[in-house]
Amino acid sequence: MGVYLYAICGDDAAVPDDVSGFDGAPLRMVRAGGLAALVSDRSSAPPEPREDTLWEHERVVEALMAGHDLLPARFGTELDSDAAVAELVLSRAEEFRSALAYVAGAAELGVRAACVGDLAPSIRRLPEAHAGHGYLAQRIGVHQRVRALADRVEQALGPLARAHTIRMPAPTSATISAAFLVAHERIDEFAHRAAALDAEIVDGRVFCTGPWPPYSFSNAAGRGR
Amino acid sequence: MTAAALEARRVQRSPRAARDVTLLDLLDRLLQGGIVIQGEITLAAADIDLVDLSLLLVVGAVDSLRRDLRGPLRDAKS
Repeated sequence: MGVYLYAICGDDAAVPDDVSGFDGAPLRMVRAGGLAALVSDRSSAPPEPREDTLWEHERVVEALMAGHDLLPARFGTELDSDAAVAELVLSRAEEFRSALAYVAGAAELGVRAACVGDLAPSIRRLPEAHAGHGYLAQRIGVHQRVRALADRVEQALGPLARAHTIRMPAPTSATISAAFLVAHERIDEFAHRAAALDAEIVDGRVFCTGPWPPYSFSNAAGRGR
Repeated sequence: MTAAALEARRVQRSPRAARDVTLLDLLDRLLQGGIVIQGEITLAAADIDLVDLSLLLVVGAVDSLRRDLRGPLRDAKS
């Protein structure tokens, strides 16, 4: 028997009435220290991360997000009992309050940007002696293009956001992944700007997803992932 | 704003390829973001390789991602 945690929010939040928790269990609030934790009871093992279970968690969090500022919990977070939830909330109340103030009135938008086009010309066409050099030159070229793409995304979208984090790709990738914390009233503007950016950039694609709960801005450490 | 309205907005804003990307973003956020509680919790996803999980979950999206993004899937395995 465990208690599954979906999100932490202010004490004024009501339980959303249009969704239920995992396995149809009713949602409840555990209130402590002027904060509230949205939970449901679980009698079986923690949910496995699958597409449907991830969305189930997400729908619960979004239902609460529709009316309240919140800090989403990472998928799979379970505690032993309501008492353990209350203890957690009390022990980190200050951190949670400060994080809630930070994300208040805002949602997270995801941006993935990728270089497209002739990224990987076949190095087999090069004379063997130059293949290594050609490979390195190509890698540097890709890196420069990705860097330029990241700068462009940041310059275009950063000013519309309260905060952002940009993850540069692994050395073998040409895709960056970014998260922007955007005030509710600027979400439409942000999405339009992202779509315009996608159209403007001829050798790359820009995809915007969301609005998400502020998963990337809920942790005290750096307010990012 | 209701949850249904949020969902409608997500879909409306998402052309086909972006809807595939949405699944990757969902994965990223739910398994690597959010508040983390140390101690008593069970992290169901902790032992699962994220790359493998991504591949399992977005099998349906692989083709369009490869075509449109040259994206995270191919890169993750190369």
